Amino acid sequence: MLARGTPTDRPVATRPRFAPGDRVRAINATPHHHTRLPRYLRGHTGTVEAEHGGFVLPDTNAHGQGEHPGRLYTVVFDGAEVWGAGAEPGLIISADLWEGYLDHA
Amino acid sequence: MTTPETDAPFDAPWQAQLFGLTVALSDAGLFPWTDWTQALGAELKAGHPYWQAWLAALETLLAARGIALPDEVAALAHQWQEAAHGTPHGTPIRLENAPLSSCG
Amino acid sequence: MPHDHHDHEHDNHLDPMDARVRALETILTRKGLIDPAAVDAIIDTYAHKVGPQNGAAVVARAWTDPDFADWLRRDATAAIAAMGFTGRQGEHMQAVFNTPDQHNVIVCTLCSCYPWTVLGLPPVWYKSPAYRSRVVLEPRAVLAEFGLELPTDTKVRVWDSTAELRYLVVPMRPEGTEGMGPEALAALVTRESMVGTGLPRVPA
Repeated sequence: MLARGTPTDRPVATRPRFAPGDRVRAINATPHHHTRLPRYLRGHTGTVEAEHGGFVLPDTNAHGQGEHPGRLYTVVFDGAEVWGAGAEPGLIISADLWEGYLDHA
Repeated sequence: MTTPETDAPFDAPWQAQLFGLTVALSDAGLFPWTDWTQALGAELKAGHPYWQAWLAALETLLAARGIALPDEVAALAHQWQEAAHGTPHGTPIRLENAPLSSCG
Repeated sequence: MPHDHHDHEHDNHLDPMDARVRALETILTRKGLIDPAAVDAIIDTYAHKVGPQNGAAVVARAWTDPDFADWLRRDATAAIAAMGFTGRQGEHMQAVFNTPDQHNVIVCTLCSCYPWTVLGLPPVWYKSPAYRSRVVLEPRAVLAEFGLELPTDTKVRVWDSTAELRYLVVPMRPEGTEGMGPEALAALVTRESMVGTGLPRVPA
């Protein structure tokens, strides 16, 4: 049982839109298939820390249509940018976000 | 938030059973785990308690794939209740103990 | 109770959730989509065999073997797999090392993603709406409720497990553990210290 597991990384043909160090903004749209984009990060700006290649995109509507891999990035947000001046000092938040959730800032 | 008695992953056997079913179905390729986390997240966002959200998410995934439709689940759940009522304490509950069971 | 049960020997009552789970299992078994024995094996594995002792062994080895620590930092999935810990929710691992400058905490704000292969299944508090919503907003306050007070100049980085990467916090090796071997060290590594809501025990 434990020997298995199901890796969800997949090759993607497109070139990465973002590179480590790029400033990016999480999209502010709330289409239901973007539910792996946390609400508290929507519209906020962070910095790409790592690019992980392609990963299966979660999309319950994709059943029967094959997988839709998208490039995944670890994006780092400053606490004060997300929560405002009242944020706890020294807070850093990071999240793993698919390319389609991000725009250049 | 940190009391030891809240450390166990399951509070009741049905939660463990539900967990096992979900993992087995994903192992069998019925849905990728990414779909699962998405479905669970959507139910949790609706504010359900954790394991109720888990059950609702699995029911939603199975209904969407035409594998187990809500009416079918409700009817069988009713049969299981009937079977429980027809089973003496201390005896495993079996679906065959449901009165007028139509299961073959 | 609205009804008197006359037949007290036959008054088993299933929780409605329990009945629905049994109904699903019945349907899935009849359709040949699951094997009840395989379901039982999965439950047994995750209820009894996989747990934070796995992660503790990884952390203790990282404390005592610099080459392993380096591998863990570069490719946690492979380094952890080399210790025999593979499987679901461990396919894409990242180890995050605490330093005097930065303390790491993991969460899944969207549901309850957790590194099963190294920590087992998540405890109730990890799945609670309070932890999931508050730890990204006020981690110091949450950690204080766990009894963990961090120096004010230590940064707190919260890793939200929004995709398929699973995180393992590698806490700093406690002082006074020089000369201890991996097994003795592993006994100091708590689950909370690998989620970031606690620190390792200090030797008595």
